[in-house]
Amino acid sequence: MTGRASRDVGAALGAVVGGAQVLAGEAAGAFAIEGRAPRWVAFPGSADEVSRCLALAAAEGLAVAPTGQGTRRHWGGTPRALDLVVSLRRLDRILAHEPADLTMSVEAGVTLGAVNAHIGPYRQLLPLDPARAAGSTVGGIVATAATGPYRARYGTIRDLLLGVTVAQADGTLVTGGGRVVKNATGYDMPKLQVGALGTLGVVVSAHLRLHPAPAEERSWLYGFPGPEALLDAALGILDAPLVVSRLTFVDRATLGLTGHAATPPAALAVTIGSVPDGARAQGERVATICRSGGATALPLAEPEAWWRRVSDAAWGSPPEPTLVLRIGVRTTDVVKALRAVEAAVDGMSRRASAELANGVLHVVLAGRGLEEAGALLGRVRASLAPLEGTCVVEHGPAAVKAALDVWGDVGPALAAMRGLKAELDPQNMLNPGRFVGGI
Amino acid sequence: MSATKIQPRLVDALREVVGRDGVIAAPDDCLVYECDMLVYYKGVPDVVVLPRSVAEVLAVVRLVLDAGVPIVPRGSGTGLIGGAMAPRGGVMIGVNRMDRVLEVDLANRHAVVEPGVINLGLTRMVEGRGYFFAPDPSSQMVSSIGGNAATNAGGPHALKYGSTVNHVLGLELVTGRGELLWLGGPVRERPGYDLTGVVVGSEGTLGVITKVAVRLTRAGEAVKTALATFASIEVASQAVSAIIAEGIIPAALEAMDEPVIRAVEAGIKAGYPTDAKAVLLIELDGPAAEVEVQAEAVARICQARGALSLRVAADDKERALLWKGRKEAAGAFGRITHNYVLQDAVVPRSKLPEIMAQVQAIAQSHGVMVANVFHAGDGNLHPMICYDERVSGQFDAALAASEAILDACIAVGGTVTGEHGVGMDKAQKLARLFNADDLAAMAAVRRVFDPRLLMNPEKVFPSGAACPEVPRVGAGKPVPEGMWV
Repeated sequence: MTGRASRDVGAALGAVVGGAQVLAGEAAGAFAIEGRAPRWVAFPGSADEVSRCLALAAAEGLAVAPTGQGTRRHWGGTPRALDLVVSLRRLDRILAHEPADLTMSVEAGVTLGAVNAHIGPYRQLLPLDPARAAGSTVGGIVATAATGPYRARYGTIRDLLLGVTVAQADGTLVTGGGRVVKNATGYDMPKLQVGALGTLGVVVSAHLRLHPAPAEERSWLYGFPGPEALLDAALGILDAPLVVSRLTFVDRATLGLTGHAATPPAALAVTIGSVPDGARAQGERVATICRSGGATALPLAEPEAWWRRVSDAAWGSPPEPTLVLRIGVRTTDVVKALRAVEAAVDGMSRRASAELANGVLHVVLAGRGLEEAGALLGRVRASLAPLEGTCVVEHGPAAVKAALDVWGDVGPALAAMRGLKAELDPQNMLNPGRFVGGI
Repeated sequence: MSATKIQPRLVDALREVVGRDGVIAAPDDCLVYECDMLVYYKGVPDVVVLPRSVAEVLAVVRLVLDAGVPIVPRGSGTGLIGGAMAPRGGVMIGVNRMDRVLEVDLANRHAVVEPGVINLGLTRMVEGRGYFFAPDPSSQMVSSIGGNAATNAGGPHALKYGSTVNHVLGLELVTGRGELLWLGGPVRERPGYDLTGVVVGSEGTLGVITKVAVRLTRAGEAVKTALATFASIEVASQAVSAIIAEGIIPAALEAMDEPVIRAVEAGIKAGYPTDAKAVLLIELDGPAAEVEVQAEAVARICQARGALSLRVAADDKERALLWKGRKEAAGAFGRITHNYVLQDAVVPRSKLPEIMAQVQAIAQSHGVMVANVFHAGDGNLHPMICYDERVSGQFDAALAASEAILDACIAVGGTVTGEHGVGMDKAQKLARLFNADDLAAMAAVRRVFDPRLLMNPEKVFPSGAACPEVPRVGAGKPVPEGMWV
């Protein structure tokens, strides 16, 4: 860092956001990322204040990490530098909700819980259910592209994000997209923020598309003799004219963590949302497909609480040191990927679950072997290569992660990604080192 | 800016790459490519190249970039924006001969196609197995998937299924740097920037799309298509807003007003009641029980909102006929007016009744007739502003009315194009919605892929220099019959 003395930077931030809205020194330590503590944390209260914080940071050459509630602050690589955390938690206003349009506009620090509490009475929903959804902010979901089982039906934030306002690295506020549900006006700039981990700008507000809540949502659980039979049944469900909201594989270990009494080798959880007759009729068809695949129905009391426990199981749970992998493959390759991982991590404790409609496999590894995570990851990625699989480390001990490429090789498109970063953050001040290819 | 000079040497080199039959260089033959279906904007390419492979596209792009000449990609040329045309001349790359379906993977619900594959052709390949390619612009029987991706094409079913961008998993692109890039792909979960998302809809300004990986969608268990008639387009619009507000997202929810109904019945005979002042074409799909319940709700809402009649298609044949009327409405409309200006704008759907009243008021104050055929469910208007080029002043009045309608849409929080795109036609309008900083961010994206600004120049981005050079040769020519909106 060059420029003013650190005391002066703190004072300058205070002049922007108010002295009480700046943390420095030890107090900032709670906002450390992978063990690296920022020198300051600022809590701007408006888009304009975010903009001025970034302009200040740009002038001072500070490395900046945006954050919301910090739910996924541990995602991404170890920061190469970190001076200032800009928290958006005070940007928590719902700016507009147009029930008749099924759209809403929110500041980035609004949580999914607050969104759904607001729109629930209108029988509408923002259908995103990643782990720890209720406390996750909209800005954080955009930055991480975090998804959950609902992706089977509703897609990701990419499909729901109509427009954004972004504070660019130098503080300039820019907007992209719009607030209507259909738009072909200029480049689709909101897409660039999805999953970018805040490396191209800080989202300060978003226009979102909502969905009507189904009249009834029902979930079922089926135990299978093994993952292969389960996948066959899941492919049968996907090939039938059914509208599934969730279609999730959980292994025996995961099922055990959810507190379920039964312990089949593999279980398939299905949710269907429809009118009551529609849910019932589709549920019967699911049952037929599963039974013909050798499955037995398992009881599922309080399904929503159970689904949250599945998410939590895939999250990894400190203090237990875990390595959490998120693997992407074609739906038909999910079990192949699972077997490949099992072979590569022989001897470690593990549990797995998968969102089958989109080929997302979560694996949580624990026990001896973590210290050789680099070699382990190399073996996993090598075994996924023939499947064109992707493998991201979502979570791991900081010391372990520091030695890893948590994202993996993104291929020849990396050059264009680097070019984009150089154009939009030429000083490389936003989350340096935390994104793909060391961006 | 003067038209680019093409050296004979370049033409020879292009022939080396794609063969003699793949290069069109005679000025008369190039005239065919001077415009898309918005004939108002004309610009003849100096050379048209018709490659058959990615390797050929790559070689062509590199040669043309070396020569410092503009490149204009073109699919089927069904755009309505002054997009697939060459305002500065240069080399047009037509991808129609790259029309192979490379992979169909129903178990994983995707296909990989070359850019010249016709939209409906892909659906025809998989519909027997219960799948379809969801984007369905009205031009789908002739428009190419590469063109659909380049323009982020919409269509009636975008209401429920989204526009093309929601169905592109990845694509291969030859950039304005002369590089071949694969972005995204059939594996859905992947880290990195969503470059696919920004290339879709970039209208050829970032590169030439050479492959597209698309989602295939499982068809629903049941489908029900109904035609409701109303006493005015405003009343019909109120019914549209009420259906959405009730939490029903039909597969499609289309509106047509009286002049369009008359045109359709005169030409296509789709069975629309000619005494109706407005019709809604409402399609529900999904689980049978859900379609039943929603159909009852829609009927109830339409009735409560003053529908004069409501008829459900009895079979596939009747359903197809109702859709034929809608999809060919704009073409049929050419029979009853000499000329018209077509708009594509979007408003928040709850503003639909208000904007339709404003459209009629604008028509009256400008002394023009405006007919409407549009994607009501997502607030996507397509007013057709009629004029007769033989009557002095009418064209200017129509253009003024068209501008006023756009202004009204912007004023209620809308946007200037929902599905046709920007091209030359709306480039200046972008400055109405985005400020200089917003546009600078888009320009930064462009530099990543096309630093020399040779890919489809003068499109999308507003610039003071963009318009005056365009020879308005075709201004006021009738929109060709068989055009789709």
